[in-house]
Amino acid sequence: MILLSGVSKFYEVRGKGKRWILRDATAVIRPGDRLGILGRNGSGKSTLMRLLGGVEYPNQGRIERRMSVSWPLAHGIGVHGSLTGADNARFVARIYERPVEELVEAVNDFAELGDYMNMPVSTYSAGMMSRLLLGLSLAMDFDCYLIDEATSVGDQRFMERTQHILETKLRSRALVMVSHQPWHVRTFCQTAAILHEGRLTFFEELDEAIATYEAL
Amino acid sequence: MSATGWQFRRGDDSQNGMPRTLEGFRRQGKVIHALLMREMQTRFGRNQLGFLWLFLEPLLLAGAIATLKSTFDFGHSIPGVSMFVFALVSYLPYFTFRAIISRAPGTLRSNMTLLYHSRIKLLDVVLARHALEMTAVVTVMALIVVGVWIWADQPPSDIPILLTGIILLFLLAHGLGLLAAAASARWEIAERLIHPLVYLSLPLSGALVPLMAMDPIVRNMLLLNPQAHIHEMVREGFFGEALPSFYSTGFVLFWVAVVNLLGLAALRAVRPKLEF
Repeated sequence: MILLSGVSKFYEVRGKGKRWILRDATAVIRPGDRLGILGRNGSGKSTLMRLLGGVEYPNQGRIERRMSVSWPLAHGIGVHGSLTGADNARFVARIYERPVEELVEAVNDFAELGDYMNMPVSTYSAGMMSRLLLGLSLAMDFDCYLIDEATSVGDQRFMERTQHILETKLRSRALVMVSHQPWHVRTFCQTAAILHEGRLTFFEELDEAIATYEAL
Repeated sequence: MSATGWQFRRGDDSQNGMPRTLEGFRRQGKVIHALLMREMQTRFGRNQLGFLWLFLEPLLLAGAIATLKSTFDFGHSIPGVSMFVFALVSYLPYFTFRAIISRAPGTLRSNMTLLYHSRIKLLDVVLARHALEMTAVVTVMALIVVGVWIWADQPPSDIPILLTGIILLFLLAHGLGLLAAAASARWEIAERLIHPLVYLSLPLSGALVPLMAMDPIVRNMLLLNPQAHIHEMVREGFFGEALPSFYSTGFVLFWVAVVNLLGLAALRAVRPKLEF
């Protein structure tokens, strides 16, 4: 479970005072939840992900993580560009104390990077990067996955595989995804929220959320 | 368990008190080990010299300064103490001290993305980096000791004192480095000020002139700086009786504790304010 109680976050903008990302947000994310958060560019989606992942701290309120949470999965985040895919997998395995070579194997199986597993990550295309990131975090077996960019799920074939894994092996895991594209949320999520001008509004129905978002 | 708290390196099972603290230390050890492995890989990865450079850089700089000093013979000549070796032994610790403090802000900035992994703490990043610098300087110092022993037939006078001096130097630099990193993360201007300040501190550091050769009034003023004690300690370990030295280990330990505690507090204070 992730609990947000009265969470506020703002940035100081030079000469303009505070820019609010989140005002007094309260929410609960439970195991098995599939939550999509819709927001326009610059609405603070990535910041919200960093708050959930414990990377950034709120200005007010509390965020409690009562389950293991992945780092926010987005292009190039959590990996080192000059290291190979395999070395990145080894690094992540070491810090989270997982069996090293087993993890490399699992990532390789899932991401299907072939020879690119032994190439520096900086040479990867966006698609390869997303496969590596997802492969890494899925192999880590977190309780909750934070997907910061919808492109992080790759092309059609890969999206289907991801969906399949989420529906089978990771059925009891939570997924939080942010996007500005309603169809991403429709593909992966069961409930949705909208982040707009610092307000996080939850909806029971996906359709209702998407209709509201499109009317913004 | 709050996100604003610092005690976040906890296990999934809720242990309390000592076991939890021990678990925290164990995890920190794992994380630092992983960071060190990664640093080696990136250094080896870029080019083969990358790793060697860690040792060559201080050695070359110290060697160049030592050559200059002994060639032009400025400074004070002491019977039985080679000017070249003196400069080498004095400049190397100073170089390391300066490098650790002035690089600390950059280390923090360029490794911010590591903090996306919630197991990696701000302190771990700096600790791993400094552990590497420490290894480099101990290795280089050992090379100098062995070199001088073989070619000049001058064994170090007291290896434990020499080593204690280097470790204290490292700890002092580590604490100041934490302060420098935290200050730079908070105020942009701090990083610009740190470089000149560290350079200007050279005359006050007591690094390049033996305190014995100084006027007692100047000497006592320099001895207010713990750094001067450390340089004297390193020289004591190296030259022993040939060069009388002035230092107090207790005084250095006191300042090491002060800057390290302040450094840890500053890092903790600055962590929630970091923007990604």
